[in-house]
Amino acid sequence: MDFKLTAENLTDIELYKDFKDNVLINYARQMDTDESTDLDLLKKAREYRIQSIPFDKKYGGLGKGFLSAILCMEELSKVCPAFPGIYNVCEVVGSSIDSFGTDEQKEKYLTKIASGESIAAFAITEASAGSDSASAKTTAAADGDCYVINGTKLFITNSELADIFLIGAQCDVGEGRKKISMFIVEKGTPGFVIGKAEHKMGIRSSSTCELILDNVRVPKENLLGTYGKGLSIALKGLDGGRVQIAAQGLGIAEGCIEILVDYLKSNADANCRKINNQAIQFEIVDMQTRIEAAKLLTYRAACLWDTGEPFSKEAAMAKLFATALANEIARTCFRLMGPEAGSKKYLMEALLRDAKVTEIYEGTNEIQKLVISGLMGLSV
Amino acid sequence: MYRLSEEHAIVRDLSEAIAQAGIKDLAEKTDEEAVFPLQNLRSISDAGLFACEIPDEYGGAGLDTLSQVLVIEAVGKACGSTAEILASTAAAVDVINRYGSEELKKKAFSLISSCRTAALAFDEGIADSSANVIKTECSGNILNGKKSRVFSVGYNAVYIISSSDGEKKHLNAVFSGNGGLTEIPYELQMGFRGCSLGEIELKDCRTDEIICTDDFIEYARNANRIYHAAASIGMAQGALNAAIEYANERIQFKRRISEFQNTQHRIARLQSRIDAAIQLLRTAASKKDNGIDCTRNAASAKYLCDDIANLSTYESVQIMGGFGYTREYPVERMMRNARMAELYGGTCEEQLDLIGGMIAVK
Repeated sequence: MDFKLTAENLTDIELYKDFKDNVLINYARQMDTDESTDLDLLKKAREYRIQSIPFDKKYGGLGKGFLSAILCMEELSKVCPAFPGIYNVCEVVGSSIDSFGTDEQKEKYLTKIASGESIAAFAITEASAGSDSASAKTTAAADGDCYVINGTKLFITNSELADIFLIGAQCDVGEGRKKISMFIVEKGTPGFVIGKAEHKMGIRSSSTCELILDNVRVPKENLLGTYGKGLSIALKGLDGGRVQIAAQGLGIAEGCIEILVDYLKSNADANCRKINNQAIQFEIVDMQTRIEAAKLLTYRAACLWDTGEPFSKEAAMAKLFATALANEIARTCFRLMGPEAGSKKYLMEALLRDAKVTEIYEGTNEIQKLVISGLMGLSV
Repeated sequence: MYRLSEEHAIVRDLSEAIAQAGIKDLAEKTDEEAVFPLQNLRSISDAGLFACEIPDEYGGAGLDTLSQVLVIEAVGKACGSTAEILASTAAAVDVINRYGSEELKKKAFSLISSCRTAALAFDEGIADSSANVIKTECSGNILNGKKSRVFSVGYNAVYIISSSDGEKKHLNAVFSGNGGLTEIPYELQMGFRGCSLGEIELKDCRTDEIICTDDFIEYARNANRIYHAAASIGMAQGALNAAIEYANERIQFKRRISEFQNTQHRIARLQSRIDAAIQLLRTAASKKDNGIDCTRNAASAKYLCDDIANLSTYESVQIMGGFGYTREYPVERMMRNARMAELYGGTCEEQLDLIGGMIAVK
């Protein structure tokens, strides 16, 4: 067993840290206020090739693998979790195309995602189909050389930025039964409209919108994988996404502790809480100890993904543990920081608001528990 | 132990009705647009329940602390900002009532009775409010200093300010419009966005009255703890009610999510804790009404009610999933407010220091 990150991983982290400390942090507060992603920042991230980290070199990626991608997620989430969240979705869509796509689909779409040229979005959720994604109502019906898609998707990250959308829709599989298939839909396809934007508690720096599909015709070659097997494609994509969200939670937790410790140390002379207080130090120690445990869970899941081994259970456990921890730590740090914690002068309050979503998206933590109990074979 | 009289039950039900009728509808706007909720205060005042501890002879309802707690609890279920403003006003009214001169009561209560707010201004800088050093100076009847974390800044009729002359601590009343008083609202924060939180600066400010030079601080703090705890526990129940309503409408896997055991147990755990915290809070209020020392119960109630408010609002967001995370539903706002509650009206650490000091060191 080797619990060490490689020299290459450590070099990568330095680069991500550089982007975080010299670029991202300058945009974090403003994007939260504006409730939008800054396009200049996207350009700069492209120079750093953030989106290309996990993808194979043959598609224009950096070929650094998944572990390096989640290390990036962790580092960037210390100041602005919503921003690397954009690339998580690209990774989910890109890896789905990598695993299930045809050579033509890889050539046409994966290369654009892997190189960072196009941002991607992933759309399963609907108003009446959240945790119960199999109950989605959006339909796709064959018509000549096309599928015609109709329906409305909800809470779709990257809606306003993406060129490439991976969308789930119910298809006829005979005997009146319907099953989900996944379709690649390009931005601007007639009938495909970005609907209202959500106003959220946190992760305001990334767009979350409704997608409206009104008789959207997509060519048959845009079906991803096997007809009627879309749900398993989506779920496999989400396994990777869950490890990413675990890393996002880790980053939020670490970011909160950094802000807290800096704040208490720099106010050491004021008539206020002291970093030297035993109760405060012990709470910080408790938090850091649990962060280290969450890191091991999260990195292990990422390593399994990189070596091609099954990792659904590990991904779900990492997400469950790290995101619950992120919320607990954000709250504790907020409280320990004291009266100024709620002020917009510090990113503490933003991280606290951002933290909650990690327990909700990419499968709520209740869904993680269903996944884990299923894989443990708990039901008789 | 406390007992609700028939009169208490009437106050509770009336407050509940007002809160659920108009106040609830304005809560989103109050938060999103950071509007000071004058309209909400007016509707509470119209029902005769604003600052309801003002004695009859000064134009108030002459109710007790337990009644005031019931009003704030009910309002807290619908709008955290409004409840916190009520709590701040109630604490100031309580202190004036206990320590103020006839003249001060007449002047202050006539303003507050016409629906003006009031506030305690004890905190300074970023220190926990338990800090024993008061930097605001009182020399003769001239005040100099700065107070932080004050509610309703720019709206209060009167501030009740702690000060020190180097030897003794003083309690001072300063009315708005005093030339030596500058009111400085903070930039908006994560929560309590309708509360007009801010600082007040006192520059050669002639105090309108030195209320007392006794040991008033613990009395005032206990009042503050009890009223702000009431706001917190209201938020806790309000969020849980919203989650229960949602869980009964939301269908996933062909069932209402309220039918899942996980949802039921989660709700049961939260409600049990809320019930326990309410008992403690009302016991503290009742002791105060009966002149029994309530310090430990008040501090525990503030700590516990804030804690449950955090847990309940946070879990309510989770029960409501993605919808709970959007600003179209009330629970994310309640969660932001609950997080703030641990920093205002006496911090969590202050309560722990106090309780620990009282019982842990023999």
